[in-house]
Amino acid sequence: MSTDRGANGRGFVHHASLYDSDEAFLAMALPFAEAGLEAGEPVLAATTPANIELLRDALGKRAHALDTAETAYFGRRPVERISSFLRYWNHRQVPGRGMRIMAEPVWSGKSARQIAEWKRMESGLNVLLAEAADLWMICPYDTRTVPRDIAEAAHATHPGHVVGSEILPSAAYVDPHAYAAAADAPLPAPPGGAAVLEGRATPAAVRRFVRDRAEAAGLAGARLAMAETVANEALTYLMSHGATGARVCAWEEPGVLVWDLFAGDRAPAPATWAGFAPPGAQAGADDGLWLMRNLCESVEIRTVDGRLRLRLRYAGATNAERL
Amino acid sequence: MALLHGMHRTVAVADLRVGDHACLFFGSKEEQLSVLGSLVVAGLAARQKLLFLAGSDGPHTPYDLLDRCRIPLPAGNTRDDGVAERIQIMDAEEFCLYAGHVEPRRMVGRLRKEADRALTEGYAGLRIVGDMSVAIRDEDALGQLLQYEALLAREFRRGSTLAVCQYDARRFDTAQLKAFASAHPRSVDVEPLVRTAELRVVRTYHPSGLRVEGVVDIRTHRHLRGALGTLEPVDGDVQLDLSRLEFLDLGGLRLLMAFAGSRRAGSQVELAGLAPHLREVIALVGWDDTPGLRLGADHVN
Repeated sequence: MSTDRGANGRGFVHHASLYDSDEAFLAMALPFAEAGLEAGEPVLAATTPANIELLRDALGKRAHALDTAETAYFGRRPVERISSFLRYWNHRQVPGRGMRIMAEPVWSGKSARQIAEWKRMESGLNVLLAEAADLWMICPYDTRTVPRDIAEAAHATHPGHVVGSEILPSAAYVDPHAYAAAADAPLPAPPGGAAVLEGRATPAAVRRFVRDRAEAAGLAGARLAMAETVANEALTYLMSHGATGARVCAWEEPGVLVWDLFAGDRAPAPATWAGFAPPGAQAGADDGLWLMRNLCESVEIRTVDGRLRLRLRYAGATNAERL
Repeated sequence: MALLHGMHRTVAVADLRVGDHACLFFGSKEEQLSVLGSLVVAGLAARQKLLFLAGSDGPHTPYDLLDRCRIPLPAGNTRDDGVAERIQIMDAEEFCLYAGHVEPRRMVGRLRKEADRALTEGYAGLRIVGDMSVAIRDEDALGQLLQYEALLAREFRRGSTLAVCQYDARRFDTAQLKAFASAHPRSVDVEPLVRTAELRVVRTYHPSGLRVEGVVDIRTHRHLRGALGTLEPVDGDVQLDLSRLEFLDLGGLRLLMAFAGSRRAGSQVELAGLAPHLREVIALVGWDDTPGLRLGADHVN
């Protein structure tokens, strides 16, 4: 293999790279960045500050042309990560020229739910960035710190992996839609003590219900207004997917308010990766879902008996980042 | 409120001319003040003197009137700008009732004097605006008032005066309103562009734009779209007053952004009174760099 181009040189190329030392990291990162810079391609290293430093030192003078992003601040959640990639793509894209991104997510210290979401996104990138022609992305995994299950998942979510400057196919690669289907375990039923919206779930009723619950949970001001916005988009999403009604309930978990909206009518399941791409110039059916993903701690979508179910977790009053 | 389509010509505030004798039926204090504000601004711009016949609840002074109509003071915010001399407030009840009765000839005579005085004082003319509802005590007064309106229509047909008679539509039945309407060649049209249970959209003239009240969500998008469409022929900057919006969803925001983006290059669309959390939404989507978009003062809770 050479580092002049990925597998097909046309569409989106997505590789993992497992490394267990600074030397192993550089053996992959240096030729990848060098060849890109030499070809006049935009090259981004979105990784840890330590790895950025390693790569800059190794590149020497050529590091002046290297774009970098401290990975923890390059999209906190999957939906924001995708926005960060697309923003970079839109700003740096040169027609007729390739682009290279090295993207190393932060894995350590994440909760089980977050890890599952990030693994799922790694798989989703194959679909979400499929249109990004001539983009070659390598996702480094540091096996010194990354748990075994995450390293294994990397083979399932990337069609190929890179060792040094060798590209090897990933035999364990799973089709993204199948991956998501397997990852999306059924949701547990709402707890017995959950508050249930009585009467018809009109947009106004759902907004009032969620607002009252959020207010009772100590939210105020813009956070309260935003809760109403999120709840409204959730119901609007179900309505625009053919639901005439919904069962809506709410409860609290430590740190979050949880809202569950269960459509009353059967509807075709939404695309597996709906609501990860930012709204475009024209209104899209998943714009509201994208907004929910940005404003909530987590958004889960399931189809149960052909009916859509949305479960949203929204940061509560104890979230000190939002005081 | 326009109830008399086809009976006579409705005219936008901005299009009133001297010689006009128009009626305005308002359904709320807000509506009355909104139109009053437009009338005042237009009058000042036309170098006319303004005579306002006020009910007992005011406004009581020129500045009180400016404040209530939310008309900013001219540049410099000084109070010695001559505006106070140009606005005259008269007690409508005292004007209409003489020993408890409506006296049409006496009323018109007083207005004639005021119109002459405005000219001697060097103004381009007199603009009379009044809330006549206060004079109605009984059926008898109603007839007298109609007579006054007929006299007034003749009095100022030519010359330098224009009169807008405001009536509180909540105080009269349809037959009475029709009678008042027929006494005026024109009515000032402030019929909301949208009036549903959830949403009300009113065309504003100073500044030019819309005031959006109530709820914008999946159920009212089409109404908002239609109302925005009416601004298409309006050139230059427009303001969308959102301070009375109870709720605005993502789809509604998109309509506003699309509208801003559709305006001619160089003209601005100001969103005034936008709820603060929606700025965050706008920034999140990346709509804050929409050409021509100006985010005005935040909504004050």
